[in-house]
Amino acid sequence: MSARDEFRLSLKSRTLILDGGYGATFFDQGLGGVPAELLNLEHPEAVERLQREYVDAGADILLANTFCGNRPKLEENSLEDKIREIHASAVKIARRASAHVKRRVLVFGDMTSTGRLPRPAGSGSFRDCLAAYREQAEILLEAGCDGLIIETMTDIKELKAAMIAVREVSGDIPLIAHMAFDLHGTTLTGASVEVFAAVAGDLDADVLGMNCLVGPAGMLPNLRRLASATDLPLCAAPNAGDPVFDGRRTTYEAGASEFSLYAEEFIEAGASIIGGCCGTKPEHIRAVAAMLKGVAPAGLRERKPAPRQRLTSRTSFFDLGGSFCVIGERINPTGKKRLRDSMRASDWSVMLDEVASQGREGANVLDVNFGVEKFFTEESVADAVIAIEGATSLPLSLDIQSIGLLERALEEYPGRALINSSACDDESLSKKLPLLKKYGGVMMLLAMDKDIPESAAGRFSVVKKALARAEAIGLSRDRFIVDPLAMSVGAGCDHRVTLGTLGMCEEAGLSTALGVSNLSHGMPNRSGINAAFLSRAVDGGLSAAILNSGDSVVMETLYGALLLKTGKLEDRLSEETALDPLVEALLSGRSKTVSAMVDEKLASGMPPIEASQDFLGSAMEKVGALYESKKIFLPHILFAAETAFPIFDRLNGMMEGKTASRGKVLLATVEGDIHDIGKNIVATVLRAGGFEVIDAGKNVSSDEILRQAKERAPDIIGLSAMMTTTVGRVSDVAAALAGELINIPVICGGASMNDELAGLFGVRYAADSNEALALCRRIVEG
Amino acid sequence: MPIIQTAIEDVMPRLKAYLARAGYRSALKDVQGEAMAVARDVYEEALALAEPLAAVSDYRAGELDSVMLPEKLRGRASYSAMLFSLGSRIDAAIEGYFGRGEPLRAFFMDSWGSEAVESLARNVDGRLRAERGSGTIRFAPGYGGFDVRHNGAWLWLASRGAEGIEKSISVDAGTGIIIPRKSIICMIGWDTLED
Repeated sequence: MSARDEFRLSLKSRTLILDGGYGATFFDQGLGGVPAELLNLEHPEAVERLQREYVDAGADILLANTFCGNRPKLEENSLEDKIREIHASAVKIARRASAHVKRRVLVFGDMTSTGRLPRPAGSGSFRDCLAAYREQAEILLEAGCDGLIIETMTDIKELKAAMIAVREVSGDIPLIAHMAFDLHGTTLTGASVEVFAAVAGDLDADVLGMNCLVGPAGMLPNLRRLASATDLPLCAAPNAGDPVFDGRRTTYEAGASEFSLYAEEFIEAGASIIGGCCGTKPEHIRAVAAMLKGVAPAGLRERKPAPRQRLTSRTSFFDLGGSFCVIGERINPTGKKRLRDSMRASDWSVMLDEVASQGREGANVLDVNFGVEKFFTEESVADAVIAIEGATSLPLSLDIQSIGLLERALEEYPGRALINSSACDDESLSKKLPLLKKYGGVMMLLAMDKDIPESAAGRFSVVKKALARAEAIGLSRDRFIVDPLAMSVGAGCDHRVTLGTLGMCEEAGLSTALGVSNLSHGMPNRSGINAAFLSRAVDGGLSAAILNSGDSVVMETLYGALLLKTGKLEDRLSEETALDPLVEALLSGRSKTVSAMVDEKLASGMPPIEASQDFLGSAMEKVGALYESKKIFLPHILFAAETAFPIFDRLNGMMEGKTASRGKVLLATVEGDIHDIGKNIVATVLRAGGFEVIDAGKNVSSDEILRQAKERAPDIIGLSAMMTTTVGRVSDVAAALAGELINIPVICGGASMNDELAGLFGVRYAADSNEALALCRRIVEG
Repeated sequence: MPIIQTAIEDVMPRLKAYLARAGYRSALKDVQGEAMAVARDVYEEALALAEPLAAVSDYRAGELDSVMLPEKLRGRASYSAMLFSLGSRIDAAIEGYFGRGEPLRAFFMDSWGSEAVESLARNVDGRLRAERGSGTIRFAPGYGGFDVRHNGAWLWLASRGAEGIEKSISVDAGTGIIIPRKSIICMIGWDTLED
């Protein structure tokens, strides 16, 4: 089994602990003035000491101290001549640091940004980044790393360069790819978590993840988003919250215990590797390791399959197979002199007007076609892609046939593109499939070999063969979308063959796209023909169409066809949005909102008693009902109660002595027992459910309960007894009440109580506060 | 000395266990928004308030009267009497929160305390087993028909030789209730004699 297979397998059965930050510790040791990578040569003992502490804390993976070891970064400190020594030493140090333990500790080479981001985010180039990462990856592999991690990346295009470089160097080395996201799940240069998942997910990583920036609390929602956007194992390595600089040194706000509190949630969210970043120290990692003892690894859990056919730009995405996809066809200079001339002159202004207008018209993806490609160079294509990327957030379909130009466009495009297209013949596939594999994306397969089969079965057959070939080199079927080929009816082509092929693809679960306008080529009334055909194709299961989004006949017909096919006239309200806004505000503890809603009622003339009973009280009853039906949990109702009680008190103060309740309950913990937490919880839940509660306290004698029962005349008496040694007091109270001929229903609960015992005592039993509320309701409602 | 050195990790229950104790029976992601923020906040506050104490005293079988032992544990070579407590500050905080009309915080603190003291017991228990080999389950008075009022005697056994424990931990003779509340008194029977 290869090292990579072994690594992947281990992630299925265990959680791996990654080490934590280095910089803060080096700074504490007075080494802050030395470039961290130079420590490998000048203070190897300091690096080894820290890494040894991480190993002792439980780290399974040590990162060699090579984070800023790429050539452009080393050049900043004139250390580029030592690039090999630095890396070789770093790996040796990490090996020594873990030599004293029996378990296997992996040493990963650590890579990050070159600091010279490729255009348009910086002034660097994709190819320079590629060369720098290729060099670093080669050196790290020579030094004997067990794997590589690319981390703290802020630019998706630079990450893409790094990942491609690593895989150019080795297909066998385990690879973890991270980006650093802000609280909104966006990197510094605009890539979202979903874009990262889609782009990096194609680039042959073993693990995707995130590190730094937002602390564990901020990272958790981002990790959950990542988990729903990729099927790959995940890694989370947050920093220890925000850095705080006191003028002398930097500390971080999250201590080890707070940091570790998120570890379980990271696992539940899907993380198979957990570590730390800036500000975390061995104590953080030790706390995480302790917190995860006995926690089932994420690799054992089923995850919901991630979207397979997601097209992305740098900042947004569109899921093929989700909604119907309109691919705008107008960035194509064929037959458009002004556009053609400007594009050939590398003047992108006319092209960008088309970009903007198609976006406004409702296109979801933009097709980019250069017409006669010999008039374009690799650089002009790169410039065009960068210009379009800056003008729209829509994903692109790269309709480029020259392999050199297509590859250049794929290098420059930061998202997951639709590669439009490849025929299914050997020559086309042998050139284009490797590009799809190397750069990622989704490819449109034309249902043709060298020639176009005349029958639907013939077209479908060549598609099947092409898919089998792709699968043989590790490209799954969901990386493709099939074009069943719409051809000019004016030239005598039978559109029913197209529809037949479409039907076969639909049956086989394949997404499909058609260049609709091809059908009416050379015909009058093109819009009408296109629209009629599109309507039939939509009904036949078409997933996407390349069309003129400015053609209102086609677009209106498309929307009509989609409405008839899906039957969706309006979105159904989700359960959440259907929730009473006051209930929602109560459950989320928004006291100001609740207060404002009550004030609004009062201002509209509602008397305080009605605001209390019919408005706030009614909402709390709904909260109680949600709890009774187990749709919410105990803390929710406590939270809602805490939110509502001060407002009830305020309303009561306006009511001049009038109050309203479902009934009055006298609660007490019996004599000898001081366990009143359960009783207090029941009190809160009953209050939240509309009952007036008289709390007699804990360790209350039978005589005192009797006295209060006579004086306060409750509708129900509730008793709590926790201990086997105190549970008999419930019987005493029941007997005392009977002796005085007081016929008030008694309910009881507590750890040592049960239904049978309650029956023996002549009282009724509630196992928890939920049951207590339900029981009290039944009693007062008769 | 029966006092066992403990680490902060020993009293850090798993978040999921803590929240499950608080009534959340679903995935952690379902504990959302402000409630989770309160839960975390209470976790940290409780951790800071806790004064973990672990004491273990060992006895040969012959040193203990069989009536002192639950039936399930009889016939072993030696016994460990064990005491675990989080101290009184957790109790005070729970009461304080209830008193101030903050039942959610009180409830979370109570849930944390229950899980944390169990976590402490489990961790020390694990270390003892790693050293001593096979033993019985950890058994506490009040379970399996073994009268909860045995707590008093086992407290004495667990803390024998540890001066001052009686000032911070007590058992009500009539009910067997331990004060502070987040405390566990229990025992393990061992198949071998402890050196």
